[in-house]
Amino acid sequence: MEFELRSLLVFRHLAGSGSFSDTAKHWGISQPAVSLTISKLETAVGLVLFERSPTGARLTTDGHAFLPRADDVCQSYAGLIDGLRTWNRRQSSEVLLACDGSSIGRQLMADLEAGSVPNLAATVTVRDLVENWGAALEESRFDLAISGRFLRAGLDSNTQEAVLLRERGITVAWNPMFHSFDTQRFSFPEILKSTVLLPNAKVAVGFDDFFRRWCDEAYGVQPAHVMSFDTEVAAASACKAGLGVMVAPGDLMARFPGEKVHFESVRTFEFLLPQAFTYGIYCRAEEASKEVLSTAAAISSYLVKKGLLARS
Amino acid sequence: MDQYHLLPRITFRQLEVLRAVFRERSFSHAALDLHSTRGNVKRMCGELEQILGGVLFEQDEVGALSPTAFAHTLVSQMSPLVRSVRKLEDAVSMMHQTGRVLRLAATPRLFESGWFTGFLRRFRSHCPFRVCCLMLDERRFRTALLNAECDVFLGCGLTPSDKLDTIDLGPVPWQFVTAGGPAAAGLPEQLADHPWWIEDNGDPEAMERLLDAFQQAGAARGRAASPTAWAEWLAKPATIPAGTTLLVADTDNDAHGSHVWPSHHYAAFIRRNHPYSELKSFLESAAHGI
Repeated sequence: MEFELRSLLVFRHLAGSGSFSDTAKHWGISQPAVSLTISKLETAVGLVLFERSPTGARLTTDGHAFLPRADDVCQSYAGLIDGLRTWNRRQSSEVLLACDGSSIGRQLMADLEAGSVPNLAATVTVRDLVENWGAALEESRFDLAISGRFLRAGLDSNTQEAVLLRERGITVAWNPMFHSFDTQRFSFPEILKSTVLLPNAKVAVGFDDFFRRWCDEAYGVQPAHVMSFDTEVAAASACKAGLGVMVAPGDLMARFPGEKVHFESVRTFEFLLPQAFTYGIYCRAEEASKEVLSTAAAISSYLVKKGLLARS
Repeated sequence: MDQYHLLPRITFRQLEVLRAVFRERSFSHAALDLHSTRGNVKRMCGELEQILGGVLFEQDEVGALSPTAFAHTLVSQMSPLVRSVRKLEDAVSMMHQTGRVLRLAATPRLFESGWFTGFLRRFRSHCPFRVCCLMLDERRFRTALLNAECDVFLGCGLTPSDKLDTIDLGPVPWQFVTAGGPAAAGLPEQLADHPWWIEDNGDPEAMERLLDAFQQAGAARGRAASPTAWAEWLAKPATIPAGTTLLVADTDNDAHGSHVWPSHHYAAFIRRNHPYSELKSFLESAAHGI
């Protein structure tokens, strides 16, 4: 029974999705390669695992029996790979930081790449935050995550949080050339009649879900149209271009100090949601590596010194 | 999670070899444990080093091996993986022992035949599979096999296909029917001077080949009759034109035809590289009643 252990990952995905093209896309290989991987695996274990059809693949009885064991192997294989990668990073004293899409995160990313962050004990490699980053952090896909989160979303006993910033309420911003809402007597449901520009989970965990639930439960209506954005900067420029109304947690305009002239904005629900927006830096709860912890400290103090977290 | 090609292509065997060398601190001792050779073990360690991109063992002047820090990390972290692969292997070998499912398909017509019953009895008594049968129209058996909807298709007088392996299960005997009723078999040359018919089985290529074979054996050119006309003739043999012989493929009896006569053949089709490597030999031995 000799086969590449990684082919079980393809097997597992195909079993779950039932589609050759989805599996190919997910693993970044071609469809014939998926087919070939599966038939090699079938030959190696001497079992027929799938019934194929023009629309996809379906597990056979033997395939069903094979799946739970294969799933275990996949998990421990992924665990080994993550473990080895973490070890490699420790050896080369490298810390992998995942940066969120808020303007603070983007600024930090640029500064790190330019090498202007002082007191770093390790080489910091930066990458984009993934959705569901809590789990990815636990699995050692990266060592540190910097991100915003909304209310209690994203909190987990397996991750440690260092709060950098906490803000009340949410901000609604629009370009006065395209929209005219009353800033004095602002009525939140009014904005639901136009397009809402919403940062997604890569900017602030839980905000997207909260917003939709809020609309549903408080007003019984969903926004006319929602556009999701991976970064706050992209959402803000769409807003500036008049595409819609931007809704973001906390004090949005403080994060765009130079752009205030282009927007009219309202902060709302400040008393209903006193600790709505938390911006923090996260690591694994049991993190023991000095490099990781001191990198987190260096980044926090840099953000404070540079005034990225300062509020008027 | 990742791109597939970024994941290291390690196999279970490589991890086992690594564990053995790590334990024994020697390629040759590990080879003894693994029932392999020193060269083989050394080569596999080299492969693993290449795949993982790190040195696993260092050799001093005396030739003693010492594992690197990387090897220590790898060995300490791989035990969950080794355990889960063992469990997978156990599960697979258990499935092999208790019998894997074999889906055996045939045309509805062949299903009812005496030959099929006999074949199935012989096949079941030999093979370690759990055989289940399904009916399948012969027009789509190639797709069904390639799609793994079934594992084996039993057919009679069908053209083989490039993508399928064909196992010859022996010739189908002929019965000779004339207006006067059943006739005795002779030699193909006896069909040289009077008309004769066989039933069209819907596979033009196979029919063509069979008729050619008859001509080569010295018979006149026969003709293929449509299934409806054929059924009428067989129902009332008196309506068969005088002097005409019908060659009826006799699937009712579990017997082989003679090799003197060109004939349809029973055949089992399986897809190339079917995971059950021993399937072919089981089919062959069932066909010959060994």
